[in-house]
This record gives sequence, C-alpha cells and structure tokens, in this order.
Amino acid sequence: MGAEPGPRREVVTARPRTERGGLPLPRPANPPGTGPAAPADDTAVTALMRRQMRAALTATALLVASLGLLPVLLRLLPLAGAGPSVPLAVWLVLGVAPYPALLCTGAWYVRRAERNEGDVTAR
Amino acid sequence: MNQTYSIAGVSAVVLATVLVGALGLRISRTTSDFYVASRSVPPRLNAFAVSGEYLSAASFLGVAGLVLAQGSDMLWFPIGYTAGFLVLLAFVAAPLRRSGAYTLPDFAEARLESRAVRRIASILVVGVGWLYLLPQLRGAGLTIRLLTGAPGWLGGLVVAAVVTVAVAAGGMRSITFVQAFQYWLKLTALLVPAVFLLLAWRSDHTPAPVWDERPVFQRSTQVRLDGPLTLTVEEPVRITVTGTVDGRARHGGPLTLDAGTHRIGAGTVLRFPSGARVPLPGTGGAGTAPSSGTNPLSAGREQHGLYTTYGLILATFLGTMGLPHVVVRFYTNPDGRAARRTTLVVLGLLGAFYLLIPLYGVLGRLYAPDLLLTGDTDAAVLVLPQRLIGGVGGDLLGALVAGGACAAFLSTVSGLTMSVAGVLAQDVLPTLGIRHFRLATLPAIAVPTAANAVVSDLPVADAVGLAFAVSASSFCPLLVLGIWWRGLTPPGAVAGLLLGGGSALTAVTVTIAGGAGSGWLHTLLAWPALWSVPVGFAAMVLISLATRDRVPASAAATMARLHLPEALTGHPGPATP
Amino acid sequence: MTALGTVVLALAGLALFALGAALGHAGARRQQENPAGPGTPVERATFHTLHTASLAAPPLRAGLTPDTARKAAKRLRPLLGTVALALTDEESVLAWDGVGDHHREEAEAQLAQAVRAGRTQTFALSCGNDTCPVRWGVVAPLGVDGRVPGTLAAFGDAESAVMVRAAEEVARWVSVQLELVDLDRARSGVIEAEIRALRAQISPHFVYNSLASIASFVRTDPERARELLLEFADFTRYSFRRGGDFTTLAEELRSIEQYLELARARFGRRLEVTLRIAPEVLPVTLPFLCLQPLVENALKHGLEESADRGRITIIAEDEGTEARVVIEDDGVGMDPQRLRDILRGRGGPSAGIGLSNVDMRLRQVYGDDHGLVIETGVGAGTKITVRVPKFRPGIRPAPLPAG
Repeated sequence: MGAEPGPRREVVTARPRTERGGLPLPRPANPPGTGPAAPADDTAVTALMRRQMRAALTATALLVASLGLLPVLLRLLPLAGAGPSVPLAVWLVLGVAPYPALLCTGAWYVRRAERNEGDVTAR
Repeated sequence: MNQTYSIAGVSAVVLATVLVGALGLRISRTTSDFYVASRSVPPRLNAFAVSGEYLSAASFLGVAGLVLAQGSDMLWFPIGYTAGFLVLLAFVAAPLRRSGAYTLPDFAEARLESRAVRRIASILVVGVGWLYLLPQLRGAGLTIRLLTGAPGWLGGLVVAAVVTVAVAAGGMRSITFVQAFQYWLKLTALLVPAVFLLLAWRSDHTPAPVWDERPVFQRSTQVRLDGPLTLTVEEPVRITVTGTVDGRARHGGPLTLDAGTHRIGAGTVLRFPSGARVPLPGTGGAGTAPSSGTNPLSAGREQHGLYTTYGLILATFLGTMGLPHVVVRFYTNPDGRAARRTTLVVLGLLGAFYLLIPLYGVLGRLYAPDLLLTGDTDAAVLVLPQRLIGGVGGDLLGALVAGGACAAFLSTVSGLTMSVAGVLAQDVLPTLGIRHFRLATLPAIAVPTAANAVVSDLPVADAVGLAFAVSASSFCPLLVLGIWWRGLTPPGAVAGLLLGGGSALTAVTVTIAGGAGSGWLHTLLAWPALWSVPVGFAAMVLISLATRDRVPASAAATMARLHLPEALTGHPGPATP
Repeated sequence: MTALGTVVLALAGLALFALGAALGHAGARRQQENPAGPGTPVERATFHTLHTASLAAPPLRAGLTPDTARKAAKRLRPLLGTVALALTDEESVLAWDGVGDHHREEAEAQLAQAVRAGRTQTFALSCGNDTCPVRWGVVAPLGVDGRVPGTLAAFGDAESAVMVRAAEEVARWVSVQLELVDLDRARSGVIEAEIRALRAQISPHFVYNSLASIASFVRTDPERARELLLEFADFTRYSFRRGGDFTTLAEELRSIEQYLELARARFGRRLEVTLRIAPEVLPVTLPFLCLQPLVENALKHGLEESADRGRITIIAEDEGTEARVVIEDDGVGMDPQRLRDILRGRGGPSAGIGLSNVDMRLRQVYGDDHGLVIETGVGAGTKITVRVPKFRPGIRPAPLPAG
C-alpha cells in the first residue's frame, strides 16, 4: 500500500460547480428517492406507539415502585434500634439486589417490545 | 505502594490498548471473509464497547471512595448509573437508532427539521461532555499522583496529551474492539483483587464490617498530612505526633487529643492506636458522615439527605440517555432491534461490575479509614491491595488495579473527546472546515484540562453527577418528547433546552465555582435535577402547545420511521435473504 | 483557587454561548450587511433597493405558497412603499402585508380579470371606515412560462401612475424568481435522471466477461461455477433494483465483494484484494452504487491494462462524524490532466463516465466538500478517497427488495 517510489501522484478534484458560487449548498428538502416513506398506515403507527409506550411505562413503573420508594422507606423505618443484621440487609438491598432486578425488567421489556413489533410486521 | 509495579501495570494497559487497536485492524485486514462474517457489529460486542466506554474513573474509583466516606447512601450512584440504561432502553434505544442520527444534534435536526434546535443541542452536548471530562481528568491525575507523586494537574495533562495524540494520530481506529477490551480489563482489575481481598479479610479473623457508623482504626495507623487541617475529635484519643498540633511543635511524643477541634499543621505525622475512632476533618457537624474537607457538595448532602438522594436518582436515571459518548455508540447497531439487545446486555455487564463496588467500599471503611483524614477517599480502591495483602502479591494486585483505573479514564476520556470533537467540528466551529475533526480534539480536551487545573476540590463521582443533571434536564425531554409526542415543535424544543439545560448548567457552574454558600439554596443548586428536569419538560410541552402551527410537516412520517421495524420502513436489516 | 475557577468557568461558558449566538446570527448578518454605505443618495437608494430585493428572493425560490408569499410580501412592500401589498395565486390572496386586511375579498374579486387578460388592472375600493388608507388598488399578473400562476397586488389611498408602473416592475421581478424555481426543478430532474442512467450502466463488458469466466468453470469445477452464478445473480439483483437512491455502506460493500469475486474468477491469482473495514461505519448511508464504479475503475487500471499482478485495497474508516472510504490500486494510473477533463464531463463518451457521475452525485447530495479526491499519475497507481457524513437530514437507505 501507499505510493510506490517512482512516478509521483497528483491530487485531482473536480472544480466546484460554478452555479453554487461560494454559497453553502442548499440542502435538498427532499433528496431524490427519500420522499414520504412507504405509505405508513397512520393508525397502525399510533397503535404500535401506544403499545410500546405502555410497555415502557410498565417497566418504568416497576423501577419507580421498587427503587424509587427505597430512600423514603429506608428513612422512615426505625433502623436505629434494630438488631445487628439490619445494616447488612440495607447494604444488600442497595448494593446487590437492584442489579438482577434491573436486568430482569430489561429482559421483560425487550421481549414485550419485540413481540409488539412482530405483531405489526406479521400483519 | 510500590511504584515500579504500578507503573508497569499502567504501561501494560496502555500497550495492550494500542495492541488491541492494531490487532483489531489486522483481523479485518486478512481476507474478505472477515467482512462477510461480521456484516455488522453484533449486539454483544457493541454492549462490551458501550460498557467499556461508560465505566469511567467515577465508577472505578469514585463510587468506592464516596461509600468509604459516607456509607451506604452513596450506593445510589451505581444504581443510578445502571438504571439509566433501563430508562434509555425503554424510551429511547430503538427509536434513536432508527432515526439514523449519529449525535444528539443530528437527532434534533432529524426530528424537528430545525437548524436552531440543532445548534442549541450542539452547545449543550459540548457543555455536558466537558463537565463529564472534568472528573475523568481528575481521576487520572489522582491515580498518577498516587503512582508517581506527580501533582494532580500534571497527571490530567499527561492523560489529555496521550488521548489527543492517540485520537489525532488515528490510533483509535478500531475503537469498538479497544473499548470492548477495556470493559473486560476493568472487570478483571476489580474482580481478581476482590477475591484475594476477601481471602485476606477472612485470614484477618473476619472483623465485623463498619456499616454506617463512624469508622474505627483497625490497626495502629500512621497518617501523614500534606496540608494543614482542622480535626474534630468526639472522644479523647491518645496519639503520637511529629509536627505541629494546635500551634505547638511536637517531636514524636504521645499526646492526648481532647474532644473538640484541633488544628494540625502541614507535614504532621499522627499515629492513632488501634480501636480509635477516626476523627472528622473540618469543624464538624451533626451528621454521622464525615465530610471530605472543603467539598461543597457533601455538606449539602448531609443537611438534606432525602432531597439529594432523589436529586441523584432523577439525574442519573434520566441523564444517561443524553451522554454524548453513549449516544454515538448506538449508531454502530445495524437496526433498532439490535440497539435494544445491546442495551439489555449493557444492563447485565454494568450490574456485574457494580456488584463489586460495595465490597471495596466496605473493606475501605475497615482498612483505609485514614483516607478520610487526608481527603484522598477516591484512592480507596488503589490502596486496598497493599493494605490487606502487602508484599509482592499486594504489589501485583495493586498494579492490576492501577491498570484498571488507567483503562477507566483512558476509555472514557477518549470516547468523550471524540464525540465532543465531532460536534465541535461539525456544528460549533464550522469555520475550521469539516475536514478538521482531528484539530477539534484540541479544544475538546484543552478546556476541561484547564478547568481541572483550577477546580481542585471536587470529588470525582459528584462532578459526574452534575453532568448527568444537565443532560437529564435538557436531552431527556428532547429525546422522550421527540420520540413519543408528535406535538413537539422547534420553538418548544428550544425553550425546553434553554430553560431546563440552561438552568441546570448555570446551577452546576455556580456550584463548582463555590458561589452558593450553604443551606437550602446551595442544596438546590448542587442537586438541580429535581427542579430543572420538570422545568425542561414543562417548557417544552407548554411552548409546543402554544406554537401548534409549527409542528414539522413531516412529524407523522418521522414517527412512523422511529417506531416501525426497519423491515417496514426502509433500513436494511442485519439479515439478508 | 475557587475565585480563579469561577472566572475560568464563567469565561468558558460565556465564550461558548457567545459562539453559539454568533453562529446563529452569522447567516442573517451575512445578508444584512448595512446597505447604507458610501456613495451619493441615488447610489445608496439603488443599493437599498437591490438589497431589499435580494432578501425577498430566497423565499420565492421555494415556489409560491402561503408561507413563502408571507415572507416575500414582507420584503417587497418597503420596495414599493405602499400601505398594503398582497401576493395571490389565481383566485385567492396568499399573503397580505400591511393594513386593510378587510379588503381581502374585494381584491380577490378583481383577480380573475387580471389573470385571464394577463394585463394589469386598477380598481377603486369602497370602505366604510373613514381612516382606512386602502382606497385604490393595482393588480399586476405574474407571468411564468406563458402561464399566470398568481398576481401581485398593491394598495394606496389614491390612484397613482407611478404605483402602477412600480407594481408592474416588481411583478416582473417576482416572475423571474418563479421561473428560476421551474429551472431548479428541471435541473434536479436531470440529476435524478442521471442517477437512474448510471444505475443501468453496469458495464456490458462486465456481464460478458463474468458469464464467460463462469462458463469456463462449468466443466472443470461445476461447484465453483454454481457459486459464481449465484454471486452473479445476487450482484445483478442489487444493481438493478428499483426504488430508493440510498443504501448502506454494508450493502454497497457486499455487492462490491460479489463483483470482486466474479473478477477473481477471471483474473485468478493476478488479482489481490485487501479489504479493511471498520465495523463502526457499516451502517453509514450513502448514494446507491457510488463505490462500485470506483472499484471498477481500479480494476480497469490495476489489471486490465497491464499484464502483471494487481492489488486493490479498499479501506473504510471511522472519522468522527464521517466515514472515509479509500479505494486504491497499484496499476498504470491516469494522466491527471485527462482526469480533470473527465471530471469536468469533457472526457469523451467512453472515458470514466462512472467517475464523473459519482463525483457529481456526491456533490449534489452532500455538498462540494464531499466530491471525489483522486491521487494519481501516469504509472503511479490511483487512490480515490470518498468522505461520507454519517448523518444528513432526509437521507435514509431504501428497503431491500423482498425475497
């Protein structure tokens, strides 16, 4: 690879087309061939969006219900007078438990979202 | 800490990174078979790369340091860093990929067809990128200071120079392979020492962990203070001192520190007996958690615990989707489905990594509480192998951890620098000409490097939290509303970005500069997400409703493209018949 | 330390926002340079008029719609100095700038006459409101290509010959702008046609040569012949597909691979190919069949015109917001002067239509910055570099044909 020793190469480019002058190229609002996509059925899109939105909101609700309420719970529960195993439990709840839970919620969501899309594609 | 081993460890990481970069190219070079075999980056490989780029110095060093300093409350950081990807998965991943956007400004333009929105998004991307780079460079400086004794700003400068040269020389070409390698390196660098640390802990007769109460010196410990310091002692403690205490010079004699505050001179060496409670630096407060020196953020956290915890949760949960270096990696996915699967794998990979962090925090509270006095809590992960294991074994494990830390800031700094440079070259400094992407790496990294030299007292993980807050208040509304709501208009997006992102950015800047004093005002500014995210969303929705006639004509078509599977709208999927 | 930090951060933030604001106004400022420069009052008035006209031109160049009419009318009214000005299509007012909007329907009643006759009409308006300055109007038809797509109407408080004349002149100027719209459309139509034409230009030589080399394997190695035939089928299906002018780099490279596989059947060991593809850039969208002609060119100069072995290297790399594709051969090279002629479209019918067409399409789609960069010399091989942005609004790959 690279230029071999011997004859030298010259850099050649076409001259900028004169009609554009120095002005920036106006972007084609609709470049050839990219017009409105395959006439997407609007109601189908809306229905799919609703179902996907529901799946996303369910996943978020799970997240909020489990992790989102934890700080309040930890604050409210009277931990001070409890036995010696309580701090360990707090550390396990905060340090270990969330990660498998997040992964499971994510896996559920992906399955659900792909099924929703599969329904549309299979129409 | 044995310098030779650690420097060898860091050099090995840099060398391995370069090798993987070259090897990645070599693999693709051999024949055309490789190309056929990998017509696209498979989700798993891309997930390794995303995780490798995402796990930064804040994750590797900062979180364990904060847990050491302030206990279990700080475990919300890694939870937020991971859960952010769940929110990203649910609301953004697939549609973002389907939009065809490479950067966030691209998405803004694709969805809203407005150059103005694009321009504002670009400026915010650069702001978030710089905020995120700042703590990375700090982590780098800290690591290099511990390894070689060089001042912190110099370490940051060296890393900035290395990354600039690497990016400019095209050394980050096979970036996917490099970043994937960095993930496994980081995981190994935490996992292997963790096993040995646990064994050492057991052979130390399994001392009970110090959970959220104030740490105690397990052994007789000698602490050398580089700078002057005020200590608050709660119960009298008998120590040995060489140096100045309360203005009087001491020469190795025993001394009883009464309860109350004591001024310790620079260069003083204190030896605490085994079993003594660790005194608090600073003038002391009501909180149980010690605050690390003059750090403005932790002070607010003690006073308004619940508010700051929720501020942190909201910022990290919603901010991940707007991090520039995360977004660009989604372009590598062949389609929306692969983008989702990549994100799911990332959730697993991050979880595996963060499971190890509390362990380091707990062991740090047991074996390295003196870091609370010197303020170097971010170094906990780095010093633990030496403290618990010692000898050549400790040195080797220390070298491994140092290498992992090096991988952490190298991967994140290079990823961020490249994405900020891309936006700078394309949108902010168009006079440079679009060909000067590599030239743009200079301002991309020079600004945070300079800031790093000036802002010296910001804990790594806290500064990352600020970047998340800005991202959550600007890009989260833009992405979520842009993807799920047809009614978003360009003026609405501009208003949301400016009010949400702008107010968060202002709050963060004031906080970093130390301009907010203390009390509620300070807490509100240091943890802006709880008010700035609603502001961003509200501004976007209300202004969009007020300018309904400006809904882009193509909104319906764009929505179809974002949500319908590629097979129905256009992009070739990964599998061809 | 913190004080210094404040200063630096504040400065950095300020600089950033100032930069953004400056950029935001850059385009506008470029157009709004103060027309009141030096010169006599008459010269200044001329400058002012020309400047105002230049501001009205861009909206009109997008055609006559309510939106563009509104923007243009706002610029044109100061030019005429009337209290009200309207732009209309054949039957209704598209945009009314100035006072007296309530005369809209009354004015619309006058349109049909002007459009039908193609001549300027003047008319008086009745108004119950004594203070209304709109008492009299002039409607000048716009003529585009023999049609009258609309009119320009100006209004004042009294009949004025000067205003009739001025309205006619401005209408003529607007007509010219609208004619340019048609020209633009025609030009993009020509370019689309050229793209379609290039697509059909899979060289007949290639088809012939491929089939001949496949035939040569039928007896000696039927399995190889079968594989090649399948490659050929795939390749032609991709090349002749309909619909969509954009594809992904992955698809384009796949087709190039099939092409090279077929070429290898012909040249055997004389052809060495090195592909070095960064997987990050595979999803990049680019014009359909814009690399294949470059590879064909490399093959032509690398092997067909010499008896030695030839090496072709294809590299696709990640360059931040762009992908860089390099196609290099170590063959006989090209005469730079002749290549320049080819790129200017003066190379004669046979020579490198592919190169100049690819160059033109890239410039059309991505701007002049993104034309081909060719390094070559006689006997020095050829290296062609293409840079494709990872994202451009509105550019998406087309679906694959089903099946």
